[in-house]
Amino acid sequence: MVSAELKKKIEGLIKENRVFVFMKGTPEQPMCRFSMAVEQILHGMDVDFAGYNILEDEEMRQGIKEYTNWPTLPQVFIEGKFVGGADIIAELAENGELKKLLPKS
Amino acid sequence: MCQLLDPQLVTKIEERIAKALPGADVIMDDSDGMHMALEVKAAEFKGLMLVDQHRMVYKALDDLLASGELHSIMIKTKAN
Repeated sequence: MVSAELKKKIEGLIKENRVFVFMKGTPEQPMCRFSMAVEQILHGMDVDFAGYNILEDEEMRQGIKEYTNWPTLPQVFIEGKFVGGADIIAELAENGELKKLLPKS
Repeated sequence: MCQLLDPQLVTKIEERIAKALPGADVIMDDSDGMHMALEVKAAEFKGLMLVDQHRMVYKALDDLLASGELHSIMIKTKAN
């Protein structure tokens, strides 16, 4: 069960940041191949994003998976909406769909 | 995090996908030497967004994910 407090925290983060990634490591230093793939795709498109390092927060690491009903990380949110993990982001980048989802900067 | 193919795990994954998505085409691969890739083509995916297609796959593999036996996998889905 995701505690009300954690839910509030998650929703605050995804609403305050147009592109938000729950990841292993940070946007400056991803610590897993999948998190790095997301970072490279987004930065490659000149998209700045904020990240939450779930390696430093076990509660969030479990909580976010329950919140989105999604078992793996990283998890990418655009404009407050859950878009998917590294494999989905890669596919959307490839077929041009990702650009359409991203906020105009 | 890395996870490579282990024949027993492959069988378990294939069985679960066959059960949840009968008739689906499944390809498994770990040729990048670091992560498993699972490609599933199923008629059930028609009309669904990628996120929901992947959710169906994760749901089929739910017990493996819950136990930690499976923790890292790249999923590719396509409607048949």
